[in-house]
Amino acid sequence: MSDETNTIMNPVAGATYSAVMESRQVLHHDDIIRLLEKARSGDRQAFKALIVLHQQKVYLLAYSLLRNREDATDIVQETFIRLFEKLEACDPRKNFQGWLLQITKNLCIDYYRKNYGRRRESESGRSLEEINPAAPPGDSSPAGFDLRQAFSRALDRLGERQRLVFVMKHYNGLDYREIAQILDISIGTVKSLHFKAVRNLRVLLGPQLGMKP
Amino acid sequence: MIKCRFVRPELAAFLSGELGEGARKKVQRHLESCPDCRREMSALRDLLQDARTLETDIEREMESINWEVQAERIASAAWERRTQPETGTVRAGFRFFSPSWRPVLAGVAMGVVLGSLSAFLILRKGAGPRAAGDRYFASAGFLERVDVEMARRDTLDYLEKSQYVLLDIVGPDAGSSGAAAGKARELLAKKKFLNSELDKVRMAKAREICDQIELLFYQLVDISSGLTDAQRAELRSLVEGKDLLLKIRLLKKELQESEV
Repeated sequence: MSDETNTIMNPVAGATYSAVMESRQVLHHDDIIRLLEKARSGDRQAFKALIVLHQQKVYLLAYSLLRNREDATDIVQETFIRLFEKLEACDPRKNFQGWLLQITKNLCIDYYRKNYGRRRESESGRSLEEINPAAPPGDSSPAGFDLRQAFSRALDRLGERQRLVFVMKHYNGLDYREIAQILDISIGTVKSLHFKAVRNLRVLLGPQLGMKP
Repeated sequence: MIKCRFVRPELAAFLSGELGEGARKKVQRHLESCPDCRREMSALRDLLQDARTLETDIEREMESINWEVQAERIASAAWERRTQPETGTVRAGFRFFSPSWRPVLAGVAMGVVLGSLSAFLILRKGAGPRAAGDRYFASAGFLERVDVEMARRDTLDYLEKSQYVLLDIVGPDAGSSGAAAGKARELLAKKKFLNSELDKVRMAKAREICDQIELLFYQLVDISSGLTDAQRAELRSLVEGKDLLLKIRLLKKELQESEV
């Protein structure tokens, strides 16, 4: 791996969740363009550098939406293979990360529609109302697990775009402008979808969380 | 001050730090004076705080993955897919739907469409016999002209034959009255069918002459058993008195000239 490529990769190579959430400023547009050009000309290390730089963001989105490790890993691999196949078509002037997350989002939607709708319903016989969420966040007791499960199931009940917006906003650290770009909608629509997602989550989880309607 | 119904949809964006400075201040001022909206905001804040419970799972996942190995694995998979046709493990073969074949496919598709269209048009025009249920359409003027032409031809034919019968009876070379009476009967029958065609305005003159011929033929048929000289003279005087043969000739000429 060349020194230049190494220098570009190092800042986030071993990133944790928090580091990935805060890594927006680390990735420079010019560095990405250089890596893209090298990858196009067949430089395997440059392509690997692109993977290292973006795989956590891609995984974060895939896992937040699917909440299954194997599925999210598959999505990450498929995302970069798609990138590899479309390297020639990739426009370096556009936001590369947004474009990549757009591919991820599309793959997740397809995957979710194919595999998740029915599976989630059949995996848990318990309805949302039966899950006890009355435990503090992060609690590893069975009751704490229930809160996470309640949220997970409530998210599955949201409309597709509301779920995407909520997940991108609250679990991927993306702002309205970035979400709008990935979903190819206006910022106003993102704002409206976010509001509806929060309102619907409140309706779904309010009784369990002891909130007044 | 802005109303609650304008503030509520802004609360999610307000709590997420997505409102601009102006909007944020407006919402802030409203919240200071509206306990209901404050309660609503507090509930949403608790909800979003509870939503962070899923972050624990996500964080654990992120930390448990060896990203370097993962990146290498993905790069290898991508490279393997790219080099696969070159290594010969899977023969590239003939890919009919590959981009280089698209113009050919487009040409074939165009040919099929044009061929089908041509066949349809040819068959629709009817190379073979028409089905019994086929209907024809023509303008009223065209049908009128056809009717008049048919009437003209039938009348001419009737006059022609009548002329021969009359000459047979009253002409200088008069023949057998029996044969003449037989032809007169045929012409009387034909006259019944001809009447509807003679009703047309343009055939009014022809009708008058044809009617006179018809009367004459009735007389002839009545005495068909055999014409005496007196009867023959009477018929001749009738024909000559009305200048029937002359009228027939003139009418024939007129009808021949007025061919549609």
